[in-house]
Amino acid sequence: MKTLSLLVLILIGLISPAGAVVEWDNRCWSDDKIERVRSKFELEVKPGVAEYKKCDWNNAYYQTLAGLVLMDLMGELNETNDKYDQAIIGKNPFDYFSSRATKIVIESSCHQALAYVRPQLSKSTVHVCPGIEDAGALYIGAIMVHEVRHFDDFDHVPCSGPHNRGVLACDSKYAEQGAYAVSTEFLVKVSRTPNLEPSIRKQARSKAITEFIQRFNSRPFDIEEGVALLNDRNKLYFYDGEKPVQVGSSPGKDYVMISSDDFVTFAGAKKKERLKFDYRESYDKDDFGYKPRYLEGLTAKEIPKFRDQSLYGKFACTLFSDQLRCISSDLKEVERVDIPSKSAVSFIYSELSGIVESEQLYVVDKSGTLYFVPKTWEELKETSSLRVSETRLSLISIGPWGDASEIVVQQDGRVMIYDWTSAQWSSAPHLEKFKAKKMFAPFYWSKKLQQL
Amino acid sequence: MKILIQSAALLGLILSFAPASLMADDLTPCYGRTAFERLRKRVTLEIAPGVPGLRMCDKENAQYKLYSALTLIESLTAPNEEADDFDTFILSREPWDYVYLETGTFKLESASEEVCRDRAYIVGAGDSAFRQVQVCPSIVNFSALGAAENLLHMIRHAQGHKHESCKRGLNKGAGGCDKSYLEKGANAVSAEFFVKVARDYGVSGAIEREARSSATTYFLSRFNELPLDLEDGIGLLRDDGDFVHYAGRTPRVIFESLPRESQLTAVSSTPFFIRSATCRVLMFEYDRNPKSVEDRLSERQLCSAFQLDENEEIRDFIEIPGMMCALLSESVHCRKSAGELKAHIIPVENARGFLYSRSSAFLGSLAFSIVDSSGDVVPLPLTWDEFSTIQELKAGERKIDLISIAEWSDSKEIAVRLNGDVVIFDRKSNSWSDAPALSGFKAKRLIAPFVWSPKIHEL
Repeated sequence: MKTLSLLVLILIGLISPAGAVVEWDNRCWSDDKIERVRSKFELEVKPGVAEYKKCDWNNAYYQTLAGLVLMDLMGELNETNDKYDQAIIGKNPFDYFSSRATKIVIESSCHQALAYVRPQLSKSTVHVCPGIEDAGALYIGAIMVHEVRHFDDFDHVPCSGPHNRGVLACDSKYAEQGAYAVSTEFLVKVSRTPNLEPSIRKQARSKAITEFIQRFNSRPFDIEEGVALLNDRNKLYFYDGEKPVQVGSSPGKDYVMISSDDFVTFAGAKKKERLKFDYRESYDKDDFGYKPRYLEGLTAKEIPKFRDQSLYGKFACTLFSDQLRCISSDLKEVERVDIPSKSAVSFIYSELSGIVESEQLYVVDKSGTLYFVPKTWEELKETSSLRVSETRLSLISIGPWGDASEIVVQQDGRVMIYDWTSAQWSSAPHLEKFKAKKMFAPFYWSKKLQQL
Repeated sequence: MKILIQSAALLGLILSFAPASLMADDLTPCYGRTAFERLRKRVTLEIAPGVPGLRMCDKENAQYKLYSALTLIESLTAPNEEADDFDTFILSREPWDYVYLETGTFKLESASEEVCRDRAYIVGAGDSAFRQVQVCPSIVNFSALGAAENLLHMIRHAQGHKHESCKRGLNKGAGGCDKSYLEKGANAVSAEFFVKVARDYGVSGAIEREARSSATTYFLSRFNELPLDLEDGIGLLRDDGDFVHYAGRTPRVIFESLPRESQLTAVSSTPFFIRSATCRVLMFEYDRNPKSVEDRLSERQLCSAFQLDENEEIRDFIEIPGMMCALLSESVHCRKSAGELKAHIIPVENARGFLYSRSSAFLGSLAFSIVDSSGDVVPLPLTWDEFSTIQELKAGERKIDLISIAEWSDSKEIAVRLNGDVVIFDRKSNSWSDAPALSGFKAKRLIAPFVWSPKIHEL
């Protein structure tokens, strides 16, 4: 893509270098498959780029070609020509790409981009940036078709929504058929092609949903912003101030909806797995990144004490009722800090808050005591007991609500709204009898999106 | 060094009378996510370790106060496209451009940082490495409007613009003045910023009023060469209710027909009109395009400051350093300007008004007195500590046929007699003469100094 969201940058920074991408992404393509793709383009490798290394998923050069191989091998995709698939790229995405791009330049450095084109200089050259090796083979395909769409004079506009607000990383509408529409359509097609592996189809659908939510200033398919609420019967609801709509269920009683992630995610300590809500009545295994790896290390005694997980700054933390345990981004160090009350409930984190300090991770316990989690790994290593905040709030979840309000779930299950301007609390409308266990916010949803 | 523009006395009075809605907090808007995120993309803000995290709309939170000040600057829509007498475009059309072009980053320092330990002002800018504006946690003591002005003011200082000592007006001899508005120094930046805020369509009424008042205060008191055709002089309340500006020539009427029972007083040269038996104090605010007296005077509650009934007949009010007093027909009520609110009450008889001037050679030891209709004078203590210990007042032996007196020049004083004549006292010859161009003019009271021009009303 021309620009890279902060979110993606953060993820890239946190992904384990030891190949934490999903299995089919890790496939080592044969020389002839690589060569078939390589022969179709003029390749320029800028000085400073690491030499081509076969089957090395940290090698941008190999990764770029591997992404193209995957797209090539997909061949013809299912095309339905409906509201989700606008039939811009045709059935064969590799043909779409190779008919427009003749040259690929592997760059040694770029400013906040995974790939870019400069149509004013060349309408057939695609520049690939370091960092693309972390995108995964499927997404590289999306990036490639996205970039060549710019040759048809489709530019981006600044994002008006909360994701990348003000950054030139959005299109106005899906129906305008710009570069993001093309990459999203590619993902939709992959998700709907029966002869592809289920795992690749699932990931494509998940990524397409993310793009529909984040990349179009006028969100398609009536997608609304709200929150995801899990009630005491483990049903998952979408709530935007109107009557809540059930959109799914928790994967099971043993699963905890976790805080501070990019998707509605549940962690099951017993089964040692993380499951991501897939906008259907099922879940995707979330084995991307290093957090699930840490879940694998839980002992039988620790399982009942498991409360929450959070990715925070440059490290990830798991919360137990009596202990905070964090792991460094290189997976080499683990720090443990006791929770004084031994009754921790969950993490509390808000990027922008009028209730708690913004961008500060807290642990909240049953009494409503908030504990500051140190902001840096170095600080955490020096911490023997968590500092107590003067603010006491019996919360379990917190999230943004409109322009100047916040929505919270209290430990008694009530959902409340806090207005920054008046500094007043009020009950969330239509939720008088709703007993919430946890909340994920913001959460974007529509019936049509779920039907993808 | 930054000098706060309002005197403590004026602030004390305004805070004493202002309803809650006009308190400083109303000058710090609660901005939402959209404004915040827009700002965050436009400014680099560094936070020192130990500074509490951002808490939106919490006016006691230093990070929010800084963000709200910057957002206020950033959100100004600048309706004026060209410079005029009030706005010399130092800050260009939009003040944000000035911030953006002249600064690199803002750093919110912790309270223990050296720059924040020994400075009287709240916001500093390192002169030597000016690409970073250092802001101290005491920014929380400012409103967003005040902090925004302070930031721009300090940036101007860091560009080499320094103050000089004040050569006129109430601040004479003190520091903190600039030579002229057109010299475009730090005071000019402050005045221009307030002008821009006052003219902005998007700010709240409270912010607009405060900005207009602050701009005026700068124009009146912070330039040794008065801008906007402003002229030194005195304010006179004529016995028919007209309020005029007098500078030794034919007086110019500022507005007409105040209710006849009104009395004039001043705090830091800002005129206040007391509406007897209504509990109202009308503050003259140099407002724009006035149509009537009520349009151009803002009302403040007087009775609440002294816990008086609304139908009490208040004859006069005065604030002197450390103390403020209300005069009723049978008693004088004084209280400290700040802190303890309880008034100390002493009975008096037939009081007509306060007579006060610390610089009057004629008054001498009677610098602060109550005068009655016959010219009998009751001297009052000049300090709260002394006043609060006495239970009764005794008339002095000297009779004084004056209701108010003030300095007119280095060698002369100007006064209003009990019969309303305006007269001038020559300190050298110890003699009185009629004030020029005031034949037949009967005054109720004067205030001085009083700087004015018709143009100031155009702001």
